[in-house]
Amino acid sequence: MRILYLCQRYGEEILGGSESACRAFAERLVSRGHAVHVLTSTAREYTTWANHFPPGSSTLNGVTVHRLSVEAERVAEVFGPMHEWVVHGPHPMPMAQQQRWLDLIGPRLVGLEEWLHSHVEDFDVAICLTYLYCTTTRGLPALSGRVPTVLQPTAHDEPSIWATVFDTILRLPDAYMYFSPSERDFLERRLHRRTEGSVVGIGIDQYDVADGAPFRRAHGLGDSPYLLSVGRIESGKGSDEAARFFDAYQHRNPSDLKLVMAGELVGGTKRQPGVVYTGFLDEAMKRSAMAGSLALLQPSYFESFSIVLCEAWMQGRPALVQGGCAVLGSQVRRAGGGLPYTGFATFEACLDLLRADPELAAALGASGRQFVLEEYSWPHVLDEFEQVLRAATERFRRRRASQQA
Amino acid sequence: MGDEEAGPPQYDVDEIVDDVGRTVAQRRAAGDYPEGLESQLEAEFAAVKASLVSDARVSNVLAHKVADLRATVVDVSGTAAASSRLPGGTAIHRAIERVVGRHTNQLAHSLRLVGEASAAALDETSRVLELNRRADDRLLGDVLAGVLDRLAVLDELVAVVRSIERRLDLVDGGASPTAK
Repeated sequence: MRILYLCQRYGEEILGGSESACRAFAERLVSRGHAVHVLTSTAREYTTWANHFPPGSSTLNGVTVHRLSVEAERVAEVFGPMHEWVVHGPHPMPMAQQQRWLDLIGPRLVGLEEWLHSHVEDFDVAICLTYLYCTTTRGLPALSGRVPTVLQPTAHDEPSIWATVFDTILRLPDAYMYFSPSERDFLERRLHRRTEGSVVGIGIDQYDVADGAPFRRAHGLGDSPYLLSVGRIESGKGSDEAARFFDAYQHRNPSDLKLVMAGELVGGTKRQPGVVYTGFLDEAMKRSAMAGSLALLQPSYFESFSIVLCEAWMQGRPALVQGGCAVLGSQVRRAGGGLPYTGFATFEACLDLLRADPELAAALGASGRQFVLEEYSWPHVLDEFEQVLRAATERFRRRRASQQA
Repeated sequence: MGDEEAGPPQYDVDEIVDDVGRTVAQRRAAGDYPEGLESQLEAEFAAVKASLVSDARVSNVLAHKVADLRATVVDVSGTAAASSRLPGGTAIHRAIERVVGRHTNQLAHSLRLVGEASAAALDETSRVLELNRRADDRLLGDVLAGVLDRLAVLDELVAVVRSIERRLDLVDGGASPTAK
């Protein structure tokens, strides 16, 4: 098939979860014989959408990448108050205000709609990834009715998704691809209806369990047990709360246990005392870090799927996850691979349990690994993926046929 | 990892979570969490969580509170610990317990009954809330389906009009149509 992917950022140096998922899917679809194009921005940083890559077309690992320039950078002083107003302000909120808010979320691309209109017939299906950004909020309305469309919403229960402007946008696609059953359940509850499509998930690269020693040596951890958190380090991802919980835990339960945060500090996030920051880790070092950990800590309230959780399970380690995020709670329950906490008291009690019972920790990790091996192999995921593309195409044809009748 | 084939020992996460809940309830009853500790540590996301439009979350919170209440009710006791560091203190406590135990145990029993009745009432409230929420969802779903049907008709009309415009352009031999 000729597939067009729309994603807010794209490239090997882009580390965001949905962007990484987009690249992983695009490259593997190429290896299955599809012609895959990605329409994206020239931005590297989602906090500003500043132009970084040159505009135009290029090829990356078999995928044709079309980059459009960003019309205006996001200015925090403008976006912040507008975001507060739309999300937490009086309701009903005028639709024009909400549309302006969507444009401020960005990235607003120069000539996006024109590009889509003039190239739409070059593709058999278009896929928009992540409901929130302009590549979807502007792209999906431009494509809808012209070509079969699929949305991978990466939706979760957060204030933004309840804005009424999404009542329409989220109903446009011909089919949906979800990363988890709880994402589908949530979106269907949000839309008050059943949706076409299915839970596809994402493929997780399958490796043997790594040696934890290289990471310990590289960061001087000795034999100390450590909790590991991997990903963007910022308040919105729960990083500050996790650091506070850990600090309180250490005061109440002094030991040589450490909290290691691996990833980039974003948006002026400050380093917290008592936390080991490693910066970005390459894949081999990340696997070593996971293999040597007591458990993976996933503190985010807002996730539609956690890839690092699956990666930690591949390393046979259990997870301690934010139970306030329904998706993470569901993911660990389905896998039998970890414990959800819902506040400091349960965080402390769960951590006590994992430390006191290594057999339980190992069993949860092993169960998680088994779950990933069974559910998230690439061939299985891509079979499901192609099935949804076919369903979207069929639904589009039916709609068009009924219009022409 | 060789244990994949053998199959790892299975644990039920929900059972462990229940155990954790009991541990927390015991610690709470023992005054293990200083006042303000949890609210201070959890303040960052409290406002955000409160702003989410989620009836299910309300139901879940209520269910957890009822579970906490039941765990607390189980721990209601009519007697205090008799041990004492003072010489003869333990004997005095035991003597007091024998004298007033009949009354305090009766009070504790009454308190447990009140707690159980409260938990049952809250369970019923939770059930009614859930029934109302489902009814609201169904009603809203029906209304929205009707609206969407009408929008689909409008979409179809737009497509028909555009198709007529394109044909007219062809008939006129004019410029290529701008609308797709």
